[in-house]
Amino acid sequence: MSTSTVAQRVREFESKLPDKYSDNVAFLLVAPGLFFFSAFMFIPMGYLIMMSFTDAELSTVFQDAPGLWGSLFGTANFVGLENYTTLLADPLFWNSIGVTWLFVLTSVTLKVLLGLTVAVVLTHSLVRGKRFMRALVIIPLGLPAIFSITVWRNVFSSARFGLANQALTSLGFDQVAWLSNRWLAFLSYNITEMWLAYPFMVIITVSALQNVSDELHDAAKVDGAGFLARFWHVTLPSIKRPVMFAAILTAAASFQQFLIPFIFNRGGPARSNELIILFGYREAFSGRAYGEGAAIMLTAIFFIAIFMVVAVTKGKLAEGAHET
Amino acid sequence: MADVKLENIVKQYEDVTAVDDMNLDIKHGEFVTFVGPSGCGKSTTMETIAGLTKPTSGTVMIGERDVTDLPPKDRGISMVFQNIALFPHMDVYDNISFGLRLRKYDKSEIDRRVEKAAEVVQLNGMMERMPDEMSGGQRQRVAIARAIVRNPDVFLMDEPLANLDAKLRVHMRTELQRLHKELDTTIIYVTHDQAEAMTMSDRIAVINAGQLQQIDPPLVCYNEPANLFVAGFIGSPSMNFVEGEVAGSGFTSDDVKVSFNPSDYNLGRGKDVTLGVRPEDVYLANNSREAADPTVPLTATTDVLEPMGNEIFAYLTFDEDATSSMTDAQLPGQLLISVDPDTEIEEDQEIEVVLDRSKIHLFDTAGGKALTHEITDTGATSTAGADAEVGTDD
Repeated sequence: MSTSTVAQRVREFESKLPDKYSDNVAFLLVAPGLFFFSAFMFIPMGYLIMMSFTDAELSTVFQDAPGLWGSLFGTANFVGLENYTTLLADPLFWNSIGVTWLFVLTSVTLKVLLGLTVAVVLTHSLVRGKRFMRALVIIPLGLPAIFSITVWRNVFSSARFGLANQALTSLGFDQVAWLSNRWLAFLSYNITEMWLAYPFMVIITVSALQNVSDELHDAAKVDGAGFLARFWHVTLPSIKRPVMFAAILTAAASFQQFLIPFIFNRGGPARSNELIILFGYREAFSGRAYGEGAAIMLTAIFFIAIFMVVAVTKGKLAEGAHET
Repeated sequence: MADVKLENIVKQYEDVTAVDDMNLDIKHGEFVTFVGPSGCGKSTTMETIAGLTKPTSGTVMIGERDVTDLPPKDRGISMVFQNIALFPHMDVYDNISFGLRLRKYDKSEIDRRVEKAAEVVQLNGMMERMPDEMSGGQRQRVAIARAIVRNPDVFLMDEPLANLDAKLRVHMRTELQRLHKELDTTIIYVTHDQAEAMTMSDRIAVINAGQLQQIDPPLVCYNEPANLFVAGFIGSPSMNFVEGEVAGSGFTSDDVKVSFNPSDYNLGRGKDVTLGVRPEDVYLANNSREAADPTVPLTATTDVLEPMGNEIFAYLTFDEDATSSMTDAQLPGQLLISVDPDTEIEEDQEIEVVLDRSKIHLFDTAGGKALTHEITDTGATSTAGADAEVGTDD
């Protein structure tokens, strides 16, 4: 028995089963895993979708009520698309969507530029101690995000001891109330997000840069291309795919950014910088309107899903995924 | 005019000398091939001409200009690379016109030149293809078109056919020769394949361990190799070597003796020399008429036979009693010969062979330098007995 292969054991197992099961033995084998997967993924998702069609609140959803509906949603009522219509009519929601997309756009641009710059330096033949510096670069990735963000919160402190303000005053500028001005706060979010994500960008970009063919560079040199022309015509096209892939992944991270605005100034000043996840969190838990919160989250998922589909198909990132 | 001159080029990497005091003088319009084993410094030499590598010392001249410190683009050269190195995101037109566009040529001038270059390499009608939609041979043509479109003075090719399959390689070889005739530019070509070097070049520069061994027309390298390395490297299968020494009556070794008058070649008695003879210059004794000047027969045993279709390569060993007398762990002397395909020959057969004395080379074993490329029969004709000394030595 000990030498029997998996296939043999499956066949033995199959032969002991009644006919109607033995046809579906593959399903039976994955069923336990599938059960846990669905228990933690599909059921909460389904519950969330259902909840977005109710007026569930803290005071209603946990009440005892008869029937299946009652045991799931308590005394909450089915309200159809009402949550969605109120949401779409809410200017705060549209502000949040707008500022979130703007944040994705600016922070991804900054992350890609910083990652690319650092990676080019860390792969350049004239730079000494590249391996050591590459190890240093990864450090931010090892720190808990909440820790880094709290430190950055104090860097951008409006008080005089804030590091950013100290830097400004030492350069002869006036100190600034970073987190009380909408666009300064937005800028501080971007800088922090850039710091959090650049190690990832650098790792991907460095490995992409190492794969750029020396011969292509030589060919371009012989044809008369200088450093910039070679960077544009040889390096960038060669690393485009992996960098784009990393950019899309990190765009999803930017889209879901919650901790930075939450810890910095609760998406302020005056809710003007509430990124979408923070907006949903506020509605659901501060307002205790679970139904509306669910609708917000589902709308957010809808937006990010569209973005992902467009990015992956337009960027041809799925190419080759269907090949066997 | 674009003569290429290398003067005392040295290229040193930390503790390795890749190119060691290289001097070359290549004339305008010549097709010169650098050939040598992997890592011999031939590519590094080419890179110093291209300007992709800066020599540690020495001067590179192209035409009348000292280009040692000039970047590649200002040297009037273009280059074709081993891995073809087309820009993968550009179509054929953009690849070919890349250099011209960087130099801000007129659009109409670019079109005219690209069209002409494409015509030379027969790529018309493929301008919109991307490199990954083309075969290896077509891509190589694009790379060549990219190189000729700028009308370079000197054309550098670094193993351009190495990545093509055997059939295509032979085809591209003739294409390159045709191209050379059409363009009338200097071509410097790097390869480790001596067949490529033999078939295409005006002159072959044989390089080993960073040093130039010989630069001569292919047949001179083949017939009059300057030293042991060239003799062994040029020609396939390679030349047979037998180590021995000079005796009063000529060359002598355990297995082979060839009589001549040592003083004709300024050879002192007891000097260690190596005899070299190509497989096609060894004949079966019953065909000895075919040899211009046959030695007396040597007895040997056939070992492995390699029928090639147009000829048979036979590996001979001299120790026919090897099984009984191999008390000392001495390797039997071996000789590779080429015989006619319809010769009746079997493995483990005792046969007699003769060498063509007019095709025997002698080298100084210590320094490797060639001493003579034929053995003439001064005196040997008068004393037939001396001539009869060639034979096996048991």
